[in-house]
Amino acid sequence: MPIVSRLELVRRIDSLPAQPRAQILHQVSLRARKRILRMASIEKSIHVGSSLSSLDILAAILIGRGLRRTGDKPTEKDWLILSKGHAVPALYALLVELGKLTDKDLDTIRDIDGLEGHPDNGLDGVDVSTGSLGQGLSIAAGIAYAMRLDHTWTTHRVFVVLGDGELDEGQVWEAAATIAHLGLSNIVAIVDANGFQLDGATSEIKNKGDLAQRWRSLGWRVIEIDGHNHEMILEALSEAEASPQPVVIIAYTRRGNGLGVLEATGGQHV
Amino acid sequence: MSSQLASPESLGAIRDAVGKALLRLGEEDKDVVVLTADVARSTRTRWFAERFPERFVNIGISEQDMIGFAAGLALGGKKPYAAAFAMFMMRAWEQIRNTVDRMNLNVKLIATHSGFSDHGDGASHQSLEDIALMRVLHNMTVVIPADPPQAYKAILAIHRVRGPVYLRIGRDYSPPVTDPSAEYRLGELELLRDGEDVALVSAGPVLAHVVEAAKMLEAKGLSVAVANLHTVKPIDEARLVRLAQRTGLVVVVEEHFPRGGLFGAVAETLAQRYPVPVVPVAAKGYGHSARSVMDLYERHGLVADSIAKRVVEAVEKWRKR
Repeated sequence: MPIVSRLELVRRIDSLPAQPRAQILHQVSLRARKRILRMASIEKSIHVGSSLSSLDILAAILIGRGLRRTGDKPTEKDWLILSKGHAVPALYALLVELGKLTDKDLDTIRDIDGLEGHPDNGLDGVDVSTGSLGQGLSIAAGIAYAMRLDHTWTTHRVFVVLGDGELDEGQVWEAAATIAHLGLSNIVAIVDANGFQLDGATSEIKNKGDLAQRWRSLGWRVIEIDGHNHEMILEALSEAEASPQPVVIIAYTRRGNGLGVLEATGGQHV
Repeated sequence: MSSQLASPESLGAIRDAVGKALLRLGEEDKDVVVLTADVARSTRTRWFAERFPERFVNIGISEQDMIGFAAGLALGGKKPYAAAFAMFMMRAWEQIRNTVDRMNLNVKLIATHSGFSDHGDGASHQSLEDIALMRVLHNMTVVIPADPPQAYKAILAIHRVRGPVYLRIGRDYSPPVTDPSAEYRLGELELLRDGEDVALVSAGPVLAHVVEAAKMLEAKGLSVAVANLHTVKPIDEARLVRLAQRTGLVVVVEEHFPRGGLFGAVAETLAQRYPVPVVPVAAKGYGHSARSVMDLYERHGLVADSIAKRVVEAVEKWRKR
């Protein structure tokens, strides 16, 4: 299919059926992957592996599905919380697609006057500041509850992207129980399950148990997908939105996806 | 302000006054949402829950989640009040720092059972570090009302602050020390007694003992000022400096460890603006279960005669020079 301009793409993609949308996402994520690698070549400390594992999920939410706004109030829009904040280069790379950042801006990653190393809501396109793991889901619950009070919770969604390593944080499970207990079905949690955390494989650092069962036992609906398959991600997102209960999408991914050397070792830095 | 308090006596203990003030906020502002962590009865937020059930969430025994939830409500345009025991609010310090304070969110933290006030439950429940932990935060306002009427008025005042506020109160023991008809001025050091020889600075229920100590000292011929530092941050530098200039010696009395709390706040300010000796009278170590809060005050030297004794020692030490 022909290459379309980025802004045109964003305008058009919403109305397209899933398959062509997935094809566009493929182009988008290729461009975004290149941007992440460029950032890594400029600033070696960024979390490349994790950014590459989260990228397709974020692309599906931000561009494939898109965040919508129906009014000026904070409860009249969709929210995206990157709870695994260290994957922010992936978000920045996609904000270029949305026209909120330029390629030149990306060169300032982690510079004293440049882009912050973890999400900061002072930047247009970043809804919530994160960086300290385990907190995004609780914040999502508060936003979702505010939407319920404002009667916008059937219209708007709060998307939260977590890492599987992040699930070590007890607060995630506090929030998971709160959300299920309150029936906040306007929350869609996506676990980027790349099988690694900072010090090594998740199975070596701390076993995560039966992930699906842990969520299910609290009252969540669980959808398991290949987190690099755009069509599957889009489908799971639609299914999640239609669900009367909160949904967690466990997206099995590969750290460093698209970059062979990293993918093979599950490494974080190039 | 006085019209808001037809009968200050009817407010009950300090946590009752806070519970009543929250009810009033709930009536006046539809954006007020109250959260608690399985302590709705103890924190008196249950009254709000009964009146406004849809705007109340009991998060369960999970303070960290409660703080994140409050942050989300604030991001969503609501005005959350999160109530918990001061000790267990500290458990969520990092969430308060990284999520609430860093985004400068309009979240109000109502910390009850502070200091020795939860005497029966013992050391695990007695917070002697929370002022220090909260006042180091960049955007946080820290308020310690002295008595029930001041607590009621302070809640109404912090509601007008757009940003995070930590309000510290005790459980039941809260003898009256302020003029219930006086207007509450957030951020202003409140002079309860004027004096020239030494200034006593304190906050919270222990102030009653400080005032009593001042009276004892006056009988001995010392002229003692007593100031209520109900707003610890931002601190009223100008009035503190004037107090130091007038007396040349400041004794800080607090239901907290003598590091980083009121003593820290006063010493840091005066060290830069007008250095005079500043002496702490504070908790000597962790607390213990006690049948009465007074037993703990006595053990830690926070009753009037012990305070008076420490003031005399300070005066003798520093006035000789």
